[in-house]
Amino acid sequence: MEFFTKVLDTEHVHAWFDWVNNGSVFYVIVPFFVIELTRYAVLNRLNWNVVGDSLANVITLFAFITIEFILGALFLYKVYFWVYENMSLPHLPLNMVTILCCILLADFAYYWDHRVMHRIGIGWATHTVHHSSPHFNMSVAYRFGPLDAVFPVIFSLPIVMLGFNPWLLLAAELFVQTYQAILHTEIIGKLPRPIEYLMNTPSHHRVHHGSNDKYLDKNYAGILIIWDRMFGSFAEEKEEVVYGITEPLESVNPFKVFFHGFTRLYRMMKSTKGFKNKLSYLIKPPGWTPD
Amino acid sequence: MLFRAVLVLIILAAIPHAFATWRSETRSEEPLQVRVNQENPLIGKWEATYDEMEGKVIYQIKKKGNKIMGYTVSFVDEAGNAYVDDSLVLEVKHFSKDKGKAMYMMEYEGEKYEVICEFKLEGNSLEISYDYYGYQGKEVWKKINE
Repeated sequence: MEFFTKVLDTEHVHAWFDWVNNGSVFYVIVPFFVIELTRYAVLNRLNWNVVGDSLANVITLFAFITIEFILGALFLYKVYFWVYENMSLPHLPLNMVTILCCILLADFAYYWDHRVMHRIGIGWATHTVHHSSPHFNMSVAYRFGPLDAVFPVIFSLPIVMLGFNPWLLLAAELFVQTYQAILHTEIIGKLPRPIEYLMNTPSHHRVHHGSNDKYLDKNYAGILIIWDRMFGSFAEEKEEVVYGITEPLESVNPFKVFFHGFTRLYRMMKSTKGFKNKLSYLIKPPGWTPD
Repeated sequence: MLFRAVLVLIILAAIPHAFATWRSETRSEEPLQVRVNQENPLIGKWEATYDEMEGKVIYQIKKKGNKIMGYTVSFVDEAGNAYVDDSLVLEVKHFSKDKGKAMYMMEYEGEKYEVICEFKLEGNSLEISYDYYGYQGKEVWKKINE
């Protein structure tokens, strides 16, 4: 019990999360991506589209980080700590129970945030960027849309109100993202059944990136696939996955990639009559029309 | 669906709060880890001043069972009036040569925090420093000759 309740040194916890969340880019993501490029070459699939798409992914990552940094510095940091100081349950001590529950809550929040981004127009306008690649490799994990950092705020603030320190929550959210990043691969097939039942796996996440009818809006999970099983959004990988979106982007131009969701949304709103209909495009599911 | 989601949220929030409550209730019964002897240079009375308050605080570090614990003795205002207090503020976890680690119990705006701190003994000064999620603090306690 001591293991779970012993108060931990903040620096050690930060160092551990840093090693996993940031360090893994160098000891997992990049080496894995090199293996994937080699695999593309062996399969005769290494072409300009794959390379250009991967470069666009990295560029969208920097654009996303810039937006997130500006938002964080100007606004989010203050909001999180104001809520923590003024609207929170008693602050929780930093121990293993708190860390584990924080990661599970961050994972749960990720599920709902992800689901909402798929199911409302404004959410899809930003998140479609991540899904618009016709490829599936580690670099796609870092393909972000302009407002991808904004939606999680709505779902993570309640966790701060439950007494979890904002810094710990941020680290837990990055941990979920890091786990998620590793799932973006075609190299790993299906894993043993108990793992596939409980955890999100490359197989489950390939389904999530599919534009096949039966795969649309499925498998939103971050770490635990049980959230999808619990809330009716699970689909198993059965037929070959066709990656991308139902209206393909067909461009590796980073600028087009980053903003295409919003330009499409704007065009639809502009060509529709009536304020209510225009507004509905923001909150109705993708594919909705006024007719 | 909403019921299940709320239930998950409540369970995952309740667990750490329940452990935190249980932990605070059983803290005083925990096994002791610090070797103590009567020669320990930490033992004795100390005083500290703070920027945010006038006057000073008197502390006493003493042996309690096998533990070394620090308690507030009194708050002394500028006029010399002493207000007696007996709160636990420090629980030494490790002390070797002139450095160590301790749990620092502090109160801020009515909220109690347990923060791991590091301390360093330099002659008659005890320098205590901590970093709580970016909130850094440093204070110096001076030994009082008794």
